[in-house]
Amino acid sequence: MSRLLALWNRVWFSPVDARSLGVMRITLALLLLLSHLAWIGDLHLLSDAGPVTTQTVIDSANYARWSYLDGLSGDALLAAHLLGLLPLLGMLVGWQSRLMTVLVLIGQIALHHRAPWLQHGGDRVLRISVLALCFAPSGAAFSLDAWLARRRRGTDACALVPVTAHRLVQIQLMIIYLFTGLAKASGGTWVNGNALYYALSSRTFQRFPTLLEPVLSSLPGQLILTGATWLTLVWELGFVVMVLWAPTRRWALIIGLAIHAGIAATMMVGSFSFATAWCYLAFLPCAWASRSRLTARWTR
Amino acid sequence: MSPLGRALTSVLLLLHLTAVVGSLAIGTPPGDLIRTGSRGYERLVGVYQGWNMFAPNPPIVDRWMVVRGQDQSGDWVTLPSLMGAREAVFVEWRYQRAGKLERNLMTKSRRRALRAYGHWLCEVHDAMVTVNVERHSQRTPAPAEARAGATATMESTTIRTQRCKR
Repeated sequence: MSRLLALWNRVWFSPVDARSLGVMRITLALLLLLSHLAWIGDLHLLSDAGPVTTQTVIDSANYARWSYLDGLSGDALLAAHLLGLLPLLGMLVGWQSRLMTVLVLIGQIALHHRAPWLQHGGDRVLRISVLALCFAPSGAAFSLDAWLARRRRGTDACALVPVTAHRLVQIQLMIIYLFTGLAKASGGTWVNGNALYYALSSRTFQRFPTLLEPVLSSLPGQLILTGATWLTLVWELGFVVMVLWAPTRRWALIIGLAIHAGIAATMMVGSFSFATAWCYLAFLPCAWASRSRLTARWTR
Repeated sequence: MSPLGRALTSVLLLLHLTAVVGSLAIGTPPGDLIRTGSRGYERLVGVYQGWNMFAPNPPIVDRWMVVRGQDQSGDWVTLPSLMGAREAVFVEWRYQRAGKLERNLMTKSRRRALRAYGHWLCEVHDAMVTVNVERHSQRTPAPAEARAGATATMESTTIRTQRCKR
């Protein structure tokens, strides 16, 4: 039992450099800020005078739900949405970081509950990532909190934090790739190599409809897509092993970033590529944050 | 971290991980058993673990919504949909949440929401006596067909007819 407890503690509470968590907090807050601002252009879809009223959502939901956007429309809706920027800004600068992160999570949940049919996979990854950050003191570095504590005490507020948030993000990313890989392995188009051809042909998801046309309708182009389809499938299925085994970890992450860059450049899938790429920060050795020039200058 | 903080965090972690496992094992006896307790949390926080993006296959049929209305003289006119008209563009910069909503409204599980959408269309287009919501679909040609220059065939189905009360 004590061994199990020791293992649990090692997995979830080992100390890591607080700066890596600080960078994760700042970059996640930036992504959420962009997403929140982008919502302004779609607020009419959340309006109670719009196509999906609060009552419609309540009638369809068979679970407990709540949203501070319920029943709002027009200027009141805009004001409430803009109010949601405050905890995001607090999280970004690291003021009352724990509280702000929890408030951001509540805001994300509220947005999800008001408009479940407008949400995409990227929104879900972002929401789960905020939840993960709630489990650790993400304001222990690169934050107003840390700066104030340093001024009070004359030393670093906290150089080490538990690895909890890193682990949750790592596990979530492995789940995403493993389960989407398994689902794809049962589909004919992924196995015969035509999946990316069909995905990129879908007008719904195309970012450059005319630019891709020559690639989609030529044999060389289709052969490249076949290779990319198989690479994606093998990489998704092998990600867990590759990322857990130190010698292949770097390649698992490099290939993943390349695939997500390709998806972001060619397909309209919302913030999914960026949100997923953010999760990669949790796999980087924690010393990277203290080694980088930018962070070194910040902490000087 | 204090021992109490660690214990509390451990309890929350266990609850969260249990919900994640339940969601991953959805449709299996152990998964359903776990979800009897964890479903509320899963839905409340939105940690549902369905990651079937482009799986088991990417969409082979492209679907979009077209809205038509019949005015008092009996003529049918095309009304603006949430997404707007499908026009040929060089690049799409911004993710269209309206498109996501339309795609969701076209699924069978959203019948009630589609009915509400029909009522809303009648309110917005108050000169119409009937509003039809149509699902247009276009099958992507197979790779060999695309190389031969085949064009996709289009179909349309009316998925909601809303009589507008006046």
